[in-house]
Amino acid sequence: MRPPVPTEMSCRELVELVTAWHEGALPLADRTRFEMHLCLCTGCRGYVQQMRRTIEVTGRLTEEDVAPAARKDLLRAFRQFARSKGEPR
Amino acid sequence: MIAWKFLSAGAIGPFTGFRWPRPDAGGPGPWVRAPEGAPWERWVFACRPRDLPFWLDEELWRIELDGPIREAEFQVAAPRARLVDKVAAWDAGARLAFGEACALRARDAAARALEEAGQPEAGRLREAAGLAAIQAAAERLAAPGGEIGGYVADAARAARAGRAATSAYVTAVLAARLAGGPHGADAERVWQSEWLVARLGP
Amino acid sequence: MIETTADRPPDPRADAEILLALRRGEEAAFIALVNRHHASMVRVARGWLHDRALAEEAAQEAWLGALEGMARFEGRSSVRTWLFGILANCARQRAAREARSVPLSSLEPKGDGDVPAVEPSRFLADNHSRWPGHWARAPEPWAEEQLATRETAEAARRAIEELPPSQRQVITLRDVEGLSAEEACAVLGLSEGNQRVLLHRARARVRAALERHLQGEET
Repeated sequence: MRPPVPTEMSCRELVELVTAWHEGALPLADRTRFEMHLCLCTGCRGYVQQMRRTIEVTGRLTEEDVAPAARKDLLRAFRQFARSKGEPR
Repeated sequence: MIAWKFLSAGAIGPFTGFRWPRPDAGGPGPWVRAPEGAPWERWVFACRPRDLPFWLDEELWRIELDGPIREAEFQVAAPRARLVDKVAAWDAGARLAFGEACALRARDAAARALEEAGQPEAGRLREAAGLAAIQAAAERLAAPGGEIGGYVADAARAARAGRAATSAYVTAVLAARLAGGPHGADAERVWQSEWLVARLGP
Repeated sequence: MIETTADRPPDPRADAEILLALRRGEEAAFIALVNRHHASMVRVARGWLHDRALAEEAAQEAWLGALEGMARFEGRSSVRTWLFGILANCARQRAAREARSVPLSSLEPKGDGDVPAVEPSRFLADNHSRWPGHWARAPEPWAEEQLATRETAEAARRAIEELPPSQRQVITLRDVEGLSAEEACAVLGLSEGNQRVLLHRARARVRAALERHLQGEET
């Protein structure tokens, strides 16, 4: 069924554009329709918020320190390399 | 040029998260400019009166635009702008009143359409006073095929929950449906912007 | 001075100075660079290699490649992007060698392009009389306390591990390691458009996994 107002964006369409919008890659007309839809739709505001939180959680995934064994191996590899180049340590 | 700008609480851009520098006691806030050489799509956006119903948010500010003004379908853009002052008349009460006013428009438009179609329910809908009663009457109408009632119920429900932008949107969509095309929504939005301008003052 | 991996992302100017010292043969510079980047390199390698030990080997190989190639590094990209580029090659080659022993289930699923970001049942049908395509069941707000837990981080980590490789690579570089779109495209040899599509799908899956986790439904 054709939407009563053709310039509208449905929620299903919005969720497919979230990444492009977040990256600033939407052309202005689509960005406008996207943001106007956010003004009137709490569900989509909720989805965008969830997506922001998802990116935050992903960004916090814990650092793992270099395992001692790996560090030893790397140091050995470096010293071999330095010797082969005849460089001072 | 003086225009309008909706912002989230604390004068924060709702989409960019940009923290607008606010005016102090004396005069307007400092000028904010788009990055050097930025295309106009990256300029500061603002509302003309007719754009207001589409961009509702917690705070409404008067904003001064400088530089070549670019007019677009739902907004204007300028490379440089500063906040002038916050519109005190746009508060929670105004927002609720706007949402309610839109829902009442939906009720009246629906009742008119039903009368013209010779349907007796129109009377019950028109008599319903207050949003809760309107929602109830409209839901009774919203049987299969009763989508007109459904729209009115949606508008009333949104207005009761304080979701003014949703109420305004639903009312515009109903108007388009009743008019048989987008021009119906456009006309409803004109009414909405006139309501807002009258409420907000010069 | 030994840098810890806690500074994220590592300051590119500091990296450039450390690289200069490394080219002079200073061992302390190598240690500093390893401390700053090795953990990330192992993580990124897992975009191609499920096995942690293999990812570790790929990272080690990449360090050797970096030492061999550092005289040629012109500084047009950041040190980190350069390291990840070498790492990507090592990981990709190693993954190709291991391909015979990779179970079918972890191969790139066909038709992944047809999977929408949110399952269709969450939206009203196209024949809904008033709101086709609008939310049938809107997303619930997530509680901040729940988001900060170790369990939530684990759910995100698991979701990333289960992604198809190309999506896993992009989301690791962009969201875990914080590379820009341009840097990620350079490392992976992708167009900006392709990279964005992969990022979109990856983020959609991780969000859906977090939603299931936070609502108490584990798959």
